[in-house]
Amino acid sequence: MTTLERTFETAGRCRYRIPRHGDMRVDAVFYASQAILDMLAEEDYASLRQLVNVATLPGIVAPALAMPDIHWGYGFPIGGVAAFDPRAGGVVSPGGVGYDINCGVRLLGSALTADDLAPRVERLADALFRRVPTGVGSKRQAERLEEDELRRLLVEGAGFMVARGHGEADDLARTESGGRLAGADPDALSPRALERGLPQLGSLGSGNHFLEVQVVDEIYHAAAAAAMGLARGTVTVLIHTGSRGLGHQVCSDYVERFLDALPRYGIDLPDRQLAAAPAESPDGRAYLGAMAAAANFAFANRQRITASVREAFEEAGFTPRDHGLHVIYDLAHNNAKLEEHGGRPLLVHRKGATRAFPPGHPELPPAYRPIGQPVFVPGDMGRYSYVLVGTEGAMRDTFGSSCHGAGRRMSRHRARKEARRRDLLRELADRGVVVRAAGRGTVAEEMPEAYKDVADVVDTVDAAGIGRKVARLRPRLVVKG
Amino acid sequence: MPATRTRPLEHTGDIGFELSAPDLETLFDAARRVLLAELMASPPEGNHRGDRDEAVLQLEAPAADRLLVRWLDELLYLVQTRQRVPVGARLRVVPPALDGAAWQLQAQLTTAPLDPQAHGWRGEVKGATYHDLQLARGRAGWRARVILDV
Repeated sequence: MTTLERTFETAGRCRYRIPRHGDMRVDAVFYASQAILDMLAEEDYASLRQLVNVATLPGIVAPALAMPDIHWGYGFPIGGVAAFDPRAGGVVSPGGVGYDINCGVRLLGSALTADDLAPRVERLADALFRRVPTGVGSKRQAERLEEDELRRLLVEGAGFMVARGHGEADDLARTESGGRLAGADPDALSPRALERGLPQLGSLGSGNHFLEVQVVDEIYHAAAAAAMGLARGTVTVLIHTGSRGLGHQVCSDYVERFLDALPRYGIDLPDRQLAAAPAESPDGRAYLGAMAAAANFAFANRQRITASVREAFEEAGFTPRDHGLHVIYDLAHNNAKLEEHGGRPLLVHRKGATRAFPPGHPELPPAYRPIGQPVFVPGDMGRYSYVLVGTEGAMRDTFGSSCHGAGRRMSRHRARKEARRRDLLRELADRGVVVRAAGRGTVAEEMPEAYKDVADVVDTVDAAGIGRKVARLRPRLVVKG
Repeated sequence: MPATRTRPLEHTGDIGFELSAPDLETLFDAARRVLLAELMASPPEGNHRGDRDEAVLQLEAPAADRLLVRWLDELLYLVQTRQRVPVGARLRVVPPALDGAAWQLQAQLTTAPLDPQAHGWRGEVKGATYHDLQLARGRAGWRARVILDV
């Protein structure tokens, strides 16, 4: 796509602009290092073409954005951020939120050190693998619910789990939006979405979802690390999952519904996966009610997994006083949220992108107001993940958004082929990483080389001023679906 | 008669495939097989012995390509929620008789229970997407291109 390559221009440090052209309503802006630019070229700029498509959607507010973990997705690129003005016909797009509504990451801190972990890591791995079901194929179900309980959970979010004894009030205080999106409407979900959600609460899923026990190995921002209780050599737990089959079904149902509704709203699309409806239309409002319900399921899911993690540590021989597992923060990277930007309410879609509000923002828990919102950026299972904080630069330039991960660079088919010649579990063990996985397939598809080096992604974020590095976390134990 | 072919697509984030077949019924059935091969390393075959069930499925959509997405989503639901693997399918695709009417798929499915261990479960698929979805008739039959979210 040399035409597209010729259209983008440098617009700041690690920042590039694609000026409005064709059907674009606004400019598009993306963040990249030279290495990331090379990877965009390798995939023939497929993800930038998707970003250009996003810029054609009605009611979009400049610019359409992509974070440096950008890669080819469906509809939106992964790493995409787009804000819409509902009062000016701005749309909501289920494909712009994604199938895994409110997929996100939760970081737990602990009172343990690497030395405490080492002698019990195998036992802990077994306990975590047994107690946290991965989904299809798992013999165990974490939490049994009746449909009326599920409906309440869809409104109450993570708080429903805490009320059932699976956590503490402080867990909620350190969860984005308190672990509950307002406006959830369980009646906006299909019976099939409810059916898919019922057996899956407290399960991890597969693909890029994981549960990882890590050790803090580098601190870059002492004050922020201290506010989060992160010190070199201490143990953390990162949980990455979302709304499971319930959220997937909500997305499928509403993409279908919106495709049927497109002529009614006079919307033409360059890609049907961008199916959209005005946010203030009956269709748009119905989706937002269903999306909030699915988001609440995701918050509750991570809360229930947190309870299972605490139980697993205790099974491995750590008393609650020993492990001291507590929520540092829980944040989403697939959703659409109504937020105030530039003095007006905008519906900000983040598809594989993280909210990254700056110091002082009223939506932050008091403990994090002096430092900015914690942002967790998982890498791959062999290298490292990062903790960042949100900045004024992000608020100014990216609707308060930053990256969400490393971003893939290798297709799943290619990764599977590569893995046939190697013993990945042995290679990870040699790096000091214990793995428990439901099948070898996921480990193969998620091999470290399938991802960009997340260090390059967070360095790009840091250099562009849309996030600031706080700490680096090294994996010691990985559970995969 | 043109052969039925399937080919994986190199997609960075998700999984995609291309199909070609002499008719829509064969193409939809090839899509079923490709989907099962993505979900499990050793999906059970049509000659699977043991617990088998028969089910009738009727789907409709305003266009043939949307019918393909609905078919794949239905199969995902069957496997991932109902834990039944559609090991065989007798299919009939009915084009709309009148302008504005729906495409229909009538499927008689044979299903077997999912055994993740025995079938080499690879991992869940979230849904069939409309991104870059293609289904068109050419001189040599039908061709399709589908991307799945994993």
